Amino acid sequence: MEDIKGALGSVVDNLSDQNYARSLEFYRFWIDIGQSYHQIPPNLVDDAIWQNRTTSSIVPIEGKLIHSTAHLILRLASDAESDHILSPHTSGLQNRLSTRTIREFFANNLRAVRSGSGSVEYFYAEVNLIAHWANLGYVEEAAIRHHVLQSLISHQTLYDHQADALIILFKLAGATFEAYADPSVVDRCFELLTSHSYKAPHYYQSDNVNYLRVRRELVQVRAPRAGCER
Amino acid sequence: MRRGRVAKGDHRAKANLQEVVTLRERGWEGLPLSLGFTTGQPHQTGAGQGDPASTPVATSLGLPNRDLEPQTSQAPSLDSLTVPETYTIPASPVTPVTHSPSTSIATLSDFTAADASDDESPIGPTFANTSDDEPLIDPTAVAPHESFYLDDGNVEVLCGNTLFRVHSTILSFHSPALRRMFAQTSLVTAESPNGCPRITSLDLATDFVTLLNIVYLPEYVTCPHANESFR
Repeated sequence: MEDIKGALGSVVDNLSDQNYARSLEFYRFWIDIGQSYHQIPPNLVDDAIWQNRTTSSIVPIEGKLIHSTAHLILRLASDAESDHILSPHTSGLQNRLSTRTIREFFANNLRAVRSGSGSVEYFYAEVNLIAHWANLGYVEEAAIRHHVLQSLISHQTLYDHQADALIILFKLAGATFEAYADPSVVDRCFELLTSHSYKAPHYYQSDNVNYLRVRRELVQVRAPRAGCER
Repeated sequence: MRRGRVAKGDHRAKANLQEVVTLRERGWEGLPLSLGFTTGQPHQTGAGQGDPASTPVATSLGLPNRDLEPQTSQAPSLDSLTVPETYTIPASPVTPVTHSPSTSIATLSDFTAADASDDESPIGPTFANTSDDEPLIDPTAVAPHESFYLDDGNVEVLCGNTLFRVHSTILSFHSPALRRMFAQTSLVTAESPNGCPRITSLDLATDFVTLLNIVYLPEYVTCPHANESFR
């Protein structure tokens, strides 16, 4: 069953507009096999999608913030939920995924603020997904109205990942957030965004090793060289 | 090497910021707008989900807590549900919509056809209060048009979820079809939620805006020889 899960995950990882129909067929085929010969675990499809939600198209350090296949992930979840073969294993899939997405979004935001690292790579994917979920009505209205934007502007200034998150949210779901969020919150977002200057690249590193290496280099650059003191 | 990448990223970051600022200035033109929220299966997204005792973050931050209707600033319609990528998003779980009780009118194409013939025969039953012809409207998403909700207008026209307030006399002056429509439509008995009769059009809001631009803004229709000297 792990093999099937891995195969399904790789489908999500390689989704494209061109291969979407084939990917859905692949899903249907392997779930059909799975339920014929195995006991399908309850979260097989959820996990296969969730664990492959990131994409290489997001390169924050180059300003590339848009998840190129986020819309396809949502489409896959929607189709899987309504498909007659997949539906026994995907009931409520969209609700579960959107809930999971927003939970991790809040958690990863805090981790990034605290440590400057964490799962920033996943954070960007989650922000993209939240924007699409919001447009589709799968993010609770209260979350849009009270939580999502506010969680990003709860400090005096923005962290780099928060600035990027705001740009993603407004770029993909600006109409929805403007419509449902408090105007003063949206105004504050733009106020912070326009005054934000990106600081160090270490926020963009997706693992602690890179983060520490960058920090070490910065420290070396800033350290006074021996023999230079007067 | 890193400096170059950062500079490039900085440039892109500015471009990204400029893009969202421009999008906002244009009323999020082209962006989809959520028409509702899934309510059957409540999300468990943390504190505050349906809990009246919880304190919204807006309040805790000292921001006003506005549990009001959405402050829609643009015309939300199903046609606007497009993603600015290369893909059409799957059908949205829209909240149940209701039939508008207001009066139905014909489409602009009907007006045009009637204008072309310019006969005085009554326009067909599409102007009548037939519920079959009434478009499905999400009453919570109705928003006034930013330019053509004229305070001194005497009739409201609802196209999709966009509400226009215009002058029946001016529209009638420009179009015999509209004149007949206003004459036939029972404006006296039509629903008047904002103090003037509201009629519902089956047209797209964008089409109606084009019509109003032509009627109200002379400069909208440019003359191809406008810059030529007639001397």
